[in-house]
Formats: sequence, C-alpha cells, structure tokens
Amino acid sequence: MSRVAAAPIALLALVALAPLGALLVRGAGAIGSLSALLPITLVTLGLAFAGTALSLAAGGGLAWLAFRAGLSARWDLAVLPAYLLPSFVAALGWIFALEPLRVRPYGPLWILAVWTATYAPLAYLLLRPALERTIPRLALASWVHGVHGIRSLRTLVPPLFLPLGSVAGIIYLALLGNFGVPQILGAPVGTATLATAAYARLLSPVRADPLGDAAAVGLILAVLSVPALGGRLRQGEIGSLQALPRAHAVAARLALIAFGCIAFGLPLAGLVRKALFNPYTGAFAPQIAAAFSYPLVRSGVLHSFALASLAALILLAGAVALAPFGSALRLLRRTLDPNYLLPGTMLGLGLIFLLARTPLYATPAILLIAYVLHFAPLALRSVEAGAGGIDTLVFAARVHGVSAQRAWLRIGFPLLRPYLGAAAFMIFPLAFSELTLSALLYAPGSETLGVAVLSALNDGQYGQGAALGLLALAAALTALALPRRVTA
Amino acid sequence: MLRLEAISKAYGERAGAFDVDLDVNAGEIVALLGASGSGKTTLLNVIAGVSHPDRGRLWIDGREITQAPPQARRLGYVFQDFALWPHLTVREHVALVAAPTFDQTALLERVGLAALAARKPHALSGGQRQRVALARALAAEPKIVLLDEPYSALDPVLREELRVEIAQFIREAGVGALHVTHDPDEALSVADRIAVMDGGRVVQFGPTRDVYRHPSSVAAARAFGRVALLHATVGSGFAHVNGSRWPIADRALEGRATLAIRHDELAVSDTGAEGTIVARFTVRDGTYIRVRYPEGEVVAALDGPPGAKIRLSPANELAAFATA
Repeated sequence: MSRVAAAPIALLALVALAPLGALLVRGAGAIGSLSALLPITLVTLGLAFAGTALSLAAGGGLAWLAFRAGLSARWDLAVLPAYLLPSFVAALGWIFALEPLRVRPYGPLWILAVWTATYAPLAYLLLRPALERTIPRLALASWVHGVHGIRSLRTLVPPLFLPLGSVAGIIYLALLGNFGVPQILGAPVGTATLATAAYARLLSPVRADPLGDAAAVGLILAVLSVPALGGRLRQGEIGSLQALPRAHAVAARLALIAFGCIAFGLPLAGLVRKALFNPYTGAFAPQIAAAFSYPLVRSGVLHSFALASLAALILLAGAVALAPFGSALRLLRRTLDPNYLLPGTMLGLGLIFLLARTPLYATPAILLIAYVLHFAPLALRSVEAGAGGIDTLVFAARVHGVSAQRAWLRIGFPLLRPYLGAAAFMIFPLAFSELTLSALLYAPGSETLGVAVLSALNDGQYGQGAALGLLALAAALTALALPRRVTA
Repeated sequence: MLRLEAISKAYGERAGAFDVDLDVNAGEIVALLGASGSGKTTLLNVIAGVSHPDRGRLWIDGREITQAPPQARRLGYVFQDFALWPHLTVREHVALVAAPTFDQTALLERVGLAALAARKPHALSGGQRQRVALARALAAEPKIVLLDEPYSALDPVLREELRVEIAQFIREAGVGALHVTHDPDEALSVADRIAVMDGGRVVQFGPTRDVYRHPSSVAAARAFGRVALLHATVGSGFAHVNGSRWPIADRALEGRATLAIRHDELAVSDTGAEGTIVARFTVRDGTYIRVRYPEGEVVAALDGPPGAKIRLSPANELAAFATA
C-alpha cells in the first residue's frame, strides 16, 4: 500500500471502529452489574448453541443430500428465499400461519424453530460448495483403495471439520446478535436474550442507569462473540471437481421442496392471510392501504427507503473510490468486518455512547452512520472480489502506455459493474428491513420500517404488521436477481 | 534498447533477483530461461514497473526508466494468461493503447485478426487470443516487448506453430523482445541470445548456440534439461571415465570435476569407455539408454538391451566444472 493511501485508510479504520471502542470503554465502567446478567447470558448462550447445532444439522443435511444427488444450482432456489426473508418477518409469518391452528408460537422452542428455518439455508449455501470441493476426490481415493462404508468416514469427515467450524461460527454470531426473533417470539412470554435485554434496558423508564445497564449487556455480547470472530470461512482444500455417482435424487428433491415450503411457504402464507384477508370473514381485505394511513408507517417506510438507498450509494461510491488501492481496500474491509459480524446491538450501543452528546443523536443521520458502518464490509468485500481479478487487466492497460485514470475508467470500473450491482442488491434489502440498529437508534420522527412493524404489533395492529412484513419480504427477494456466480 | 545494470530486488535473503546485467537490442529476441523460483518474474516485474529495484538502473532506448511508472516505459507485454479485456473487442484492444495516427487496420491484417476485429475475447480461440495479446503489445509502438511464458496456456501443437510465427512478427516490427520461459525448447527455437537465471542471478548470457553448447556452470547446463552429471578425475584436457579418456573443453582443469553431458553428445566408439546399459526408454523424439559407469550414469540417444556392455565416446569436448 502506498504511504499516500495508508494514512487516510488508517484514519478511516479508526473512526469506523470508534463505536465498538466506545462500547468497550463504557462497558468496562459497568462491570459491577455483570453478575445480574448471568441468567440472561446463559439463556442466550443456550439458545445460540442449540440454534447453531440445529441450523447446521438441517442445512448440512440438505447440503449433503443435494451434493450426493448432484442437483443443479437451480435447486438452491428452494432454500434461498427462506434465507432472504428477514428473521423478524419470518417470526411474524409463523405467528400468523399457526394462528388458525390455535398454536401460539412463543417461547424458546419456537425461537429455535424460526432460527433454524432462517439460518439452515445459510449453512446449506456455505456447506454445499465445501462438500463439492472436498469430498469427491477424497471419496474416490477411499473407494478405489477399498475403504468403504463406515471406514470411509475416517477419511471423509475430518477434512470437513474446518468448513463446519467456520460455518458454525458465522451462524453462532448471527444468532447471538439476532434481535427480531426473540423480541417477537420471546418478549411476550418473558424469554429474554442479551440483544433484547439491551433494548429493554435502554428503553426502561425505571432503571437508574439504563445506559450503563445496556453497556454491560454489550460487554457480555463482546465477550461471547469475539472468540467466534477469529475464524474465517474455510472451504477446505480445492480439489478437482470430479463427480461422484449420484444417489438419493428423489429424496434430495423432496427434502429441499419440503424445507422451502415450511421455512418460506408457511410464513409467507401467514403474512398473506393476515395482510390481505379479513381474519373473521375470510374476505379479501388488503391491509396495506390501512397501514399506510398511519403517519408512523408512512414515515417508517419512507425513512427505510431513503436510508437504505443512501447507505447503498455512499458505500458503493466509497468502494469504487477505494477499488484502485487493492491492499488498502483489503485492510479496511478486514478492519471493518467486526461491524458486520458482531451483533448489531454492540454497534448500536457503541454509537449511542459515542454520539449521544452530539447533534447527530436522535436524528436519521445516526441511523445512516450505523447502516454505513454495519454494511460497509459487504460493499468492500464485493468490490474486493472483483478488483482481485481486475488488477492485472488494469495493469495490462497501464503497461501499454494508458494512464492510471484512463485505465480504471476504461477497464477497471466497467469490469467492476457486476460486483457493484451485487453489493447494491445485497445492501439495499438488508438495510431496508434492518431492525436491530433501528430499534436502538431511532427517535420519534426517524422511525424505520422495522420499528413501524414492532409498533404495529405493540398496538395490536397485526394486519398492518403483516402488510409491512410483506413489503420487507418483497424488498428482500430483490436479492434473488443477483447472478449466482457473483453471490457464490 | 533495453539495458539492465546491476539490478537487484530482494524478497528476503534468497528470493528475488540479484546483480542482474542484461541488454536487449532492437529486432532481437532474448530469452530469459530459468526454473520456477529462479527470479524471472521478479526481474520482469522490475522491468514492467510493477516494482522498483532495490539497487541498479534500467534504460529503454537510452532513457533511464528505473523509477518511471509502467505507462511511461514504452513497453508491450504479452501476459501468460493473455490478460485480455473481456468487455472490449479485438479492435478496441488495439485502439485503447494505440496512438491516434497508428494504422490499426494494417496491424490487425498483419497478425491475421482483421476478420475478427469486432469479436470479444470469449468468442476467440486460444491461438486467436494470443494474437490479440500480441497485437495489443505492438499497437502501443513499444521499444521492448515482454513475453511472460506466452505459450503456456496453449496446447503443444499450437504452441509450436505460434512461437515461430510470433517471433517473426516481432522481428518484422523491429522491436526488441524479452521472452521469459522455463521451456528450453522454446528458448532455443525463438531466441537470438539466452540469459540463464538460477537462484536470482543470471548465470550465463550469450548467443543461443554458445549457451547451449558451452554452459558456464552446472546450473547453466541443467537449465536446458537432458543433461547427465558425471563425477570424474580430469587433467590435461581429458576426463578419465572407466579407464578411457574423454576430451573436455577446459584444458586447464585438474583434479575432481563434474562433467555435464547432454543426451545427444555421446556416440558408440570402439575406443570409448565401456559401461553397462541399465535401462532403455522411449520418448516422443526417440529411444534412449541409461549407461552406468563407476563415475556415475549417463543417458545417450542410442539403443541397446539392458544388461549389455557398450563403449561410448563424446562427439565434442564436454563441459566440465571443478567439483567444489
């Protein structure tokens, strides 16, 4: 990296990590109240571990079936929508889907069920390539040398430990910081996790030091999540993509379809039923117009749209500006990764501690800063993936006498377009339906879509909540427009 | 055209290039021959401006370019994987790097791409892509063209066809070329001079035939492959092999020495050194035998059954180097 680029990048990285630093400093001051949080910590850990194990089992099982059946990548579409569904929207959908059966899906078991439905697809999407890269050549090597059946597990399973561990770490971090599902399915029956506890403490009118209490929660989240942050996604060795004889094709297809129906179809049906039909007469009676008659909803949707668009634009512009500085881009992305990987609650609390005494606090600007910091690694990673191969092509222009600026304009940036598109399609839906940061940082007048949904539920306006959930779902599904090769 | 003077670029203590002197004249092709890790890529990066040398200086066409950026060096570059721009057509590849007055059509016709000018790289064969890479390099009107293992992505038949043809294009264009390769056949078939690299240093640099026939060191001899090393006692211009005398080039050499014997240097001779055939093998260009002597084993482009005795003598004076 050139010295010219190093100084601003270091400064940028320092600023970007300041909220987490502020959280740790404030949390250290509240260390005395940590013991009171032990029960919630144990519940959170138990749920996160169990959710990770269930997601790995379900997603890994599906990935194994799809791999052995040699299903094409199109079959990933059976599980992808369930992953794109924002988890709090999925929770809503499950409530509304099970309502006619008089099942109230509240409490730890239902939190685990919705988490599994939402995060098993992530395990599937990450583990299937790992299986395809690792297993075929090992299996062939075992079989041709007479190692079959149970004995072959000794040769096939250990190489998967690394990818399994990496995927487990990613899911564990996501569950540890998940706010929407425990807030919607746990809070009504008194089941709290650290993420929901931080929110509750911050808003509590009866606590003497709500900020200090929330900081203590943030500190525990940091302690629980940092060990999992060390791992990166490891796909195992890259072998030749030999094919194995196909097996269990029908079972694999049926399993994927069944999972898609349960994890995506069921909540979708619940949302549609609640949002579009009268709960008593069953007549078609869309709630969307009614929902938009509320100023809170209108402003929430408007704010979410504006904030998501602005955040995506800012991040794309920044990533484009950094693209010519490959090593700086990589360094900055690595520095910022914790902002995305660590529970959003930590970033939200950190921003509160950092900016509470500035004019930015309680304005949409703090939400914009939060979104930009939270989603920056996605934009940078996407451009980094593209720039890796483009560097040589830009150099090929420069070495033939083309200036650096012209080389990037004619070669680099045009070739980056698909990666920028991928980043936009990833960031916009995630930001549009973001809930964790929004719930902590919004102020009256700067509500977001997620906050509007929570508010509708608190007011008993379930139909409107469902309508807004459908809107978030529609935004999330735009990510399906991404070309598979860019997302892989 | 291109001159390197005492260029050094180190990566740690051993990796890199050290004290390299090299020159390439107009219309001349110089091959930089060496195994993987010999420092070829480091040197190429320094010449192309990817990295700057720790020491030494570079000139192109009399102008010092040691610290100049890549675009100011007047180079053409044919990359190992071609590095074509996937979103540009063949003509756009040429147009982007050519000066406004440059006759692009004439160049495309000369390299056989005129009919393909509107195509993008994905619609071209491997050989056609190679020509686009060369056309782009020549369109920049360079003083020097760098060719980095340019045929490694092609199949053997196409490789042999293209390397002669492309060498001809380069000579016609009147530019100098530095052709980096690990393939001795490629170096021998296209280069006017060869620089052999080993351990980051140029261990021999000279006309192609001289470097091949008169290696200056064991490393220089081994760079061309197909060489056997025999450890013998030498003196008075001869090596003593199993009681016979084989002539060596270095008449002043005395004592223990290593003989570097190419596979085509030994012939059957009634007065030659008697050895035992221990193996016989056939490769695409003929049959070879491995012959054992008390001093070691040699390989000869001859035929005979394993176990048989055979007497061999070298047709020319052999390269011999004092054993350290």
